[in-house]
Amino acid sequence: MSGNYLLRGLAVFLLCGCSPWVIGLSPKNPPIQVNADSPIFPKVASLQPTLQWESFSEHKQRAPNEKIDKNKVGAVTYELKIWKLKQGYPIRWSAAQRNVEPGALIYSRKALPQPRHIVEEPLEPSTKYIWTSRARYQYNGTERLTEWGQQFVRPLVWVSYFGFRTPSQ
Amino acid sequence: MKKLQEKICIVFLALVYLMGQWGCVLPPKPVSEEVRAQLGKVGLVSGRFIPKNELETPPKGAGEGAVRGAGVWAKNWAWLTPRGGGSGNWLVALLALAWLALTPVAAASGAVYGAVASNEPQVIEEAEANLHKALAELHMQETVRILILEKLQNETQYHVVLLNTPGPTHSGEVIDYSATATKGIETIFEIAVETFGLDGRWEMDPPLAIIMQARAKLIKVRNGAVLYNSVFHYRSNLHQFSEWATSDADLFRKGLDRAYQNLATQIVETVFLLVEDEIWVRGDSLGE
Repeated sequence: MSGNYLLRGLAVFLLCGCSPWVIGLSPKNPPIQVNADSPIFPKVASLQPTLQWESFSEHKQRAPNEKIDKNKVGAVTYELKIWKLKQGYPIRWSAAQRNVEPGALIYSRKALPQPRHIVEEPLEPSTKYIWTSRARYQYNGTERLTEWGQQFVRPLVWVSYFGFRTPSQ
Repeated sequence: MKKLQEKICIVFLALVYLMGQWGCVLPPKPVSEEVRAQLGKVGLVSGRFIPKNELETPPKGAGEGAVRGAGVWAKNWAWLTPRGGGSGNWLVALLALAWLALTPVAAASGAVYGAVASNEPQVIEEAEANLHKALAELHMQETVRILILEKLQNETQYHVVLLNTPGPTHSGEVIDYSATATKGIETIFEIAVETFGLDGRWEMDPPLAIIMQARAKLIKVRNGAVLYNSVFHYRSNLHQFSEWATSDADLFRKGLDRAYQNLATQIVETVFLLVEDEIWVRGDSLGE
C-alpha cells in the first residue's frame, strides 16, 4: 500500500519534470511546448516576427512572490535577446548556470516599454533561433531584475531558453 | 512483503538520487532584500591565489593509458607547430594556451615544445611550475574584480569601493576584515576565482570548453558574519583545441574575456539585482 503511494508520488514527481515549468517571464508568442527534451522551434509567420511574453504584472500573478511589496514596484521595462542556433553551442544546460550563451547573439534590445516586440531587422530564412526576455523594474527606489525566461526540459536537471524558426522567405 | 520492501527501497533510492541531482543543479540564490537593506558602504576584495586547474586528464594508474593520453596532447601541440611530435604530458595543452594568451606563438612554441618532447617527472614538474606562472600572469582575480566594480557602478546604486585589504590566499580562508571599519566599510564583498580549466574528451584535437568558477561572499565587518556565500559557474561553448590556439590563441583570449564578463554579470545580478524566491511555476496554457 505504502509502496504504491510512494510509486505514485515518484511518478508525479517525474512527470512534473517533463512539463514546461518556467522561471522568469513565460513566452506567449511563439508559445512553448509541452514535454520537450530540448527547445521546440515553432515556425513564425515572418522574417521579422512579433515576439510576445507575459507582462511583469501577469508574471507576478502567476508566480506570486511574498518578498515583493507590490506598492513599492515602480517603472517596468523589458529586455530581449535572440541568438542564432549554432553548432558547438549548448542548446540546453544545467539549471545551475546563469547567463548561458546558446549561440551567436544577433539581436538585443533594452528598455522596451511593452512585453512584445517586432524584430526590427529581417532574420535569415529557414533558420533556428533561441530567444528569451526579462523585466527590469524599480523596487523601493532601486533597480531589480527578473531571471531570463527559461523552461525545464527533459530530463529534470536541464533548462533552455525558447526557440522559433523562420519561414523560407 | 519482500516485494513491497524492494519497491520502497527502490523508490527511496530514486528519490535520494533525484534530490541529490536537484541540489546540484539549482542556481545560486539571490541575496534577500533584508540583507541588501543592511549592506551600507561595501568594500570589494578579491582572492590572492592562482585558481585551481580543472583539466580533463588522461587515464591514471594505467601506464599505457597515460602515455597514450600524453601522446595525444603532444600530437595536438605538434599539429600546431612546424616541429615534430613525440611524447609529452597533459599539462602542455593548458600551458600552451595560457602562454599563447600572454605571448606571441613564436616565443612560446620553443619552450612548450621542450616540455612536449619529454615525459620525465622533472619536466612535468617544470611544466606545472610554468603553468602556475602563466596563470598568475593572467591576473584572473583582479580582472574579475575590476569588471564587477564597473558593473556595480554602472548598473546599481550601491556604494561600493575597491579595497587594498588582502583577500583570501586560498579557497575557504576566513579573513578578519574588522580593520576596514575605520574606513567606514560596513560590508565586505569578497570575490575569488577558484577554478579554471578546459573540459572535453580525451582525443586528438578534442573539442574543449573553458570552465571557470568563482565564489562571492558578503561579510559583515562588525561581527564577521557571512551574509551570503555562493559559487558561480561558467562554461564556454566548445571549440577544437586547434581552433582555440590558432592566430596566437585569439579565440582563447576572447574566450577568457567572455568568461570574466559572464561571471561578473552573474555575480552582480544575483547579489544586487535579482529578486529572491523567483520560483519555478508551470508555464503552459499561456500560448495564444
